[in-house]
Amino acid sequence: MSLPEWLDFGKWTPFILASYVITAIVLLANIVVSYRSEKRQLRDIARKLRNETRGKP
Amino acid sequence: MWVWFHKLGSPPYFYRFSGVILPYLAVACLLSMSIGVFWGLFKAPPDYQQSETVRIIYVHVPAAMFSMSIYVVMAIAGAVTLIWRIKLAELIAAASAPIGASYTFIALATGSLWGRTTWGNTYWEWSDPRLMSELVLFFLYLGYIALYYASEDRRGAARAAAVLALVGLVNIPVIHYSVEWWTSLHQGSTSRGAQFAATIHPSMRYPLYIMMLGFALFYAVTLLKNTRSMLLASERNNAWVKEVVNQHESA
Repeated sequence: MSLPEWLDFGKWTPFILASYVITAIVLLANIVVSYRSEKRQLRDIARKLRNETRGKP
Repeated sequence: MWVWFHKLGSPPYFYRFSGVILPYLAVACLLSMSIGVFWGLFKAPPDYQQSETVRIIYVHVPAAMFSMSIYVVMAIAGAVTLIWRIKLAELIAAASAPIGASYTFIALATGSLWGRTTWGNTYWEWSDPRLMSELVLFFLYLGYIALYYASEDRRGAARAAAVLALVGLVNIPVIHYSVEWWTSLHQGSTSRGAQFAATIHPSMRYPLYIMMLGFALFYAVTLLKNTRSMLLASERNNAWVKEVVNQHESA
């Protein structure tokens, strides 16, 4: 399977694409972890507050 | 200005203020990254010496640059932690560490790939001062993260980690000047003011500026997001957090 022409950088294609793919994966992982972490905190605290109002420890 | 900074040190004010600016920063980051990648990958011309491999510059240089800047931010926040014991400074330092480690990893990985295309048949050179000092920076970030999460007492851990951040600061000038102090496979520094403008053609310089802006905005967005979640965790028993959670639940 060959790459489309606009993604073809000659013999250096694997090195260039690998650089951008590694960067994209690392940055995406960072942003996903950051957004999920805040959501999880809000959810955990909300659950704790609900349990407190019901009198559960 | 000082009054505003003083207010920003207050956790509830920081949480609300960051919530207001985050969407704008996120959109600006997405735009600059998209434009930078498109321009750098498809519109910028190949270099007369390095041909197409020069396109790696648009991810390698911003990542390497901010891997050092973020460490400086972390060390300054560490100093504030040790001197004034401001909780927000502790959290900003701790929230910066994983982003700095990620940028350093990107700089090392893309640098290795770029090195393979320009230095010959090698991905890594153990005797190269720039590569080794950047690798030391990566280990400093990992050490900081390990130290911060090693103890249940977060505030004590933050002070210990702040000392590590300040001691490790000595590595930053070593990374920057390594190409001048020692013989290195890595090219000399061109990223300073007029020298930078004179050595890189505008068709390559502008996409690089845009990518630098994108990486800076990405750091700002993830830093604010990480700090917000750490703030919620550390202040979970305070009234303002309960108010924020109630508002979030009813929305």
